Amino acid sequence: MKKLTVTDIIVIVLLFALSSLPALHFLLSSQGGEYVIITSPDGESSYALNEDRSIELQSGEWLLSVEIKDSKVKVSKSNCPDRVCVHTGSISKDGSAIVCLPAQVTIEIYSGEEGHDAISG
Amino acid sequence: MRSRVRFLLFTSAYALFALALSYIEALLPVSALIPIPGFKLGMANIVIAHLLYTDKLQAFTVSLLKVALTALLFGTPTTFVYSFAGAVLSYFAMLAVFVSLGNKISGAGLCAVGGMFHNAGQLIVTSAMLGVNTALAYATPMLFSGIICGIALGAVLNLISERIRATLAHIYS
Repeated sequence: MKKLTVTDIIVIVLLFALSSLPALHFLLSSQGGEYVIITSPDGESSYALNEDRSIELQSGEWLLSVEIKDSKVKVSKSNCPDRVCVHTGSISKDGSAIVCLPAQVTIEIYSGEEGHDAISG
Repeated sequence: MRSRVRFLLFTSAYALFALALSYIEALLPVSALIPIPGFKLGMANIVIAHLLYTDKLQAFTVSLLKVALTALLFGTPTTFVYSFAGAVLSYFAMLAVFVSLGNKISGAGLCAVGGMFHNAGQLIVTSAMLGVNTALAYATPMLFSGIICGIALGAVLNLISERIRATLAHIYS
């Protein structure tokens, strides 16, 4: 039977260090976003993050309720099978996103300084 | 000629084993417990990592067969692109680690590398499809989950790999 070696532990620690780099970059550089972009098969729409509102999204057979409140966005209700989007919870920071794969919907937050087109190419 | 038949037979058997593992995995409701989009255990990686110790070409063949078969049976073109990128990057990362460290590394370290780079491959596809910022926002949770699952699966591999080898040696003789 093979056992965990010292090399294993060194490699695993290195992997964890490498994996934390994106989060560090994200924490250091990101601030609260300014607007929300919702992309669905029907197209793209953008909303200001500081205005409270709720949006009903219909994508095929799936119905998503998106809520913007206190500069945070969340999917409050969805009838998609896995509900990953609902479990993601509230997002508020520049660059963060909620994704619903069955409904092909992404909800992303951007700030004014970097335009959406500059990021997604 | 005989060894080519053996290669064919064992590759098919291992590919089916990997496929069965990903089917079992699809039945487990993990995404309800861990709300990271695209999160998977990657149990089929046990087979690939095990084969790296015995036959590197067979490991790669099984990896590609598994991707193709899951795409045909359960997938969509999108999931195929994601799992293909993950599988290829994961294989070459594990190969590089295995070639440079050899037997100094056990299954746990090897599978941790595989798990992380599998998710790294998917993140590269994500950044191409949804933008670099989206991919970066998910990178750390995705990579961490890949490493943790990899360690767990590698621990399982450590327990069973010698027995599989012993059983196969028994069949060969």
